[in-house]
Amino acid sequence: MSFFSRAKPSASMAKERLRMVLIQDRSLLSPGMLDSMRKDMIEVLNKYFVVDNEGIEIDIDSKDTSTMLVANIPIIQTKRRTNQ
Amino acid sequence: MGRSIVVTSGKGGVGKTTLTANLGYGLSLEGKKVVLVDTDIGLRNLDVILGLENRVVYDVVNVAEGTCELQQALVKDKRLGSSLFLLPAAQTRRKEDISNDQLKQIVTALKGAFDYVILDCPAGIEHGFNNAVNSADEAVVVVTPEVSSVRDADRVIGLLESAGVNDISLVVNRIKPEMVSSGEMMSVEDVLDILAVRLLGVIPEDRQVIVSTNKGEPIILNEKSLATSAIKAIVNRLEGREVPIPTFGKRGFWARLSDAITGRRKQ
Repeated sequence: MSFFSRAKPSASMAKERLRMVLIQDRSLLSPGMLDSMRKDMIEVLNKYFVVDNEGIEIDIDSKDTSTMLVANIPIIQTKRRTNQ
Repeated sequence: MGRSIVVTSGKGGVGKTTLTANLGYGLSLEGKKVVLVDTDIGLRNLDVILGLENRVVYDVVNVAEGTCELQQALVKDKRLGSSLFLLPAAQTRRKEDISNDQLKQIVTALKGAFDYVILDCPAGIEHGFNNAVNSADEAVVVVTPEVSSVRDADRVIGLLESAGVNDISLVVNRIKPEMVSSGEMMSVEDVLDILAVRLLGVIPEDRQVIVSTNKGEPIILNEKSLATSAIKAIVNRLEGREVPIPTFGKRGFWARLSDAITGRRKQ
């Protein structure tokens, strides 16, 4: 593998593919994890907004080389800030 | 009280049984009393790897069912004095024919009489795996530098942790240094980056292992073998001695420069 060649060494491909597949595997491993994160997020969000707890959707999306936490959180109302 | 160690991997064919056998030889050469337990009920193989297949009379299921005493089922390896024993698996039974509690009881009894009780775990993550894992205090996870093996190892490490086995170490088996150097095989560092557990040892690919297993002889007695020093080093580390782990395969200048520029292999 020389600097000028564009082919990726297959070991790097193996490592990248593993990273991606393990992000999914590991998140699948603990179904409780997304749930507990959801609860924590609601707690924080409720300081600032009134959110639709039932309508919240949280997912882990993998595309090509990146993995994203995608959250759809319907806001019912913003809260009036009374102090700084 | 001895130590109970399960040798496991998730994926089959990565070298669990061969490693179990050779750790047994290695530790007994160190003067330790060792018993190897084949927990792969229905697919027993540790007996043939050890060359003891003609001496098996009773098996672990017989012990569990009370057909024989524990001592009657132990097969002694006469080549190594009286320090290495095998408790064979049953060949014509199913994994479910021994319960978790039964195996635990057997392992506890063995720990009272031996320095090391090493359990050769079946492939997979079903009943046989659970039995073996739940009977051990420590785990050695065997992995080869391949995507499928590393993925399965990751899953197994998660399962070990949730089973309360927290002393987990890793053996990277069948590394081909020249392929690592040319960027065609994941390096030990790559595997460790992903799995993030303690490294117990690295064993290079070695054709002599096939020759030894053909004969039912320990590879560790073959001084010409590349694997021998690696296995002896693992034995030393199990015994608590610090032995440096050599690097197997160096990435060439151009490969490293290219990686540095593209930012590959960092992360």
